[in-house]
Amino acid sequence: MNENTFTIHTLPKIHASKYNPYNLDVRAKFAIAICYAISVAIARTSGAFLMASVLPIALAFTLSNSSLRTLAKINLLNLFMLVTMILTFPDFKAALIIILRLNFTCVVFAKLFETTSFYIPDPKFVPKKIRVLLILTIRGIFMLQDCLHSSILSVKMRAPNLHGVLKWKVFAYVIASSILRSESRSEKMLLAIKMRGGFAGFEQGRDLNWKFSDSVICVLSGIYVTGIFLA
Amino acid sequence: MHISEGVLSGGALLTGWACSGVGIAIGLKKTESEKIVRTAMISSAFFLASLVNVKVGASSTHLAFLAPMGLALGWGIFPAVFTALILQAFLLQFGGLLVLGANTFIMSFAGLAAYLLFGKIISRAKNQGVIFTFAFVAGAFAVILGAFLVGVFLAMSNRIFLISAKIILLAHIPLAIIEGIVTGFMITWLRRISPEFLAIS
Repeated sequence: MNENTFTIHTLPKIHASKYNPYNLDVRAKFAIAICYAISVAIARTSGAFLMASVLPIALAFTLSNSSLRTLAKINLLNLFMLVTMILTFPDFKAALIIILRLNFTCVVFAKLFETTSFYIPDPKFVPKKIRVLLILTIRGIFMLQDCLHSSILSVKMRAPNLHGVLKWKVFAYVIASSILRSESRSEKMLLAIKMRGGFAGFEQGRDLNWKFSDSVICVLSGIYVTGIFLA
Repeated sequence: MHISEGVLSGGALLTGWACSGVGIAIGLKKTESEKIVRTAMISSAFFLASLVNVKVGASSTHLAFLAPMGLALGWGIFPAVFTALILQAFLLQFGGLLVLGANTFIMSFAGLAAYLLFGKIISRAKNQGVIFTFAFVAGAFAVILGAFLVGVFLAMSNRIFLISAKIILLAHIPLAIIEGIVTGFMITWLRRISPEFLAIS
């Protein structure tokens, strides 16, 4: 197996972002992003798209390099779809609408994800099991990442010249053994949780703090989104 | 197999959310509290495994592990995939929120179908060759079904996606073969080493 046969993407380092009192509350960000995405999904006229372009153009300059790379990959795929669509159903306007919608919503959601650290939804809105599943899966991902990485490295060191079906066999065994290890770890985790009092708790990592400025921004966004609907 | 944000129509998005909502509700009901930790750890293991970039000729691909997830979790695949896709969106900026319902349904239903159709045969087979064969078919079938569902959602949104949908289906055939081989080896090994791990046992 040569150096580049299997590579594992390392997860981005998650740093607890410093609390910035000028940051929007995460619930406000979600509400604005989702309302904007719905308005863009429904938009049909050129006026609506022109109005809808303001937010993503403003946000695009603040995106990180990784988000820009993701956007570039999505647009490469767009190009392929655009070509097939124009060759089969020469409706350029419909193809352009799809591409605009895709880019606008992707930019807004990319910014949302960049500026939101882990947000576990309010227990009023989300079933308890989903909240617990989210928290434990996040923990599991960071626990297992190094384990899988070292398994793949050890295979590369011990079998540098794997080819063909044997390569897939080794890969399958590495993944399966990582999964089995995760299962045995989960039993220890469940025992620890039971000893500490069960699933009660799992409080929010950071206090959610709705400010007056969040209300103002939501109202202004509401006006903006309504403008897109009506345009 | 992910559909990007902004592609699907409102009707397709609502259909995706409705179908995945039902699946998640059933999955949560069938997942006991004792098994939640196991589901979370398996979900995180599959999340990481799907990050492994595998060279295929001049290109590379990421495997989805739909059939192994289905065979390990059964109906629990719905909440597990839902969780993993939310985390993919936040950690990797991959996918979206509005289209989460459709993506969850596509991947979960494919894995669940593999579990329902092939689970019993794989659990009863004694011969390693037979287990491998059926696991291979389950793995390949899950990928093809997933690609087909992507095409259905795209076609539901707009008829101009029909050709793209067909191309997506054809493009997934090599991936289905690779995923079938990997699923075959994985399930054969897990049946031998830890048969109680699989939901089919």
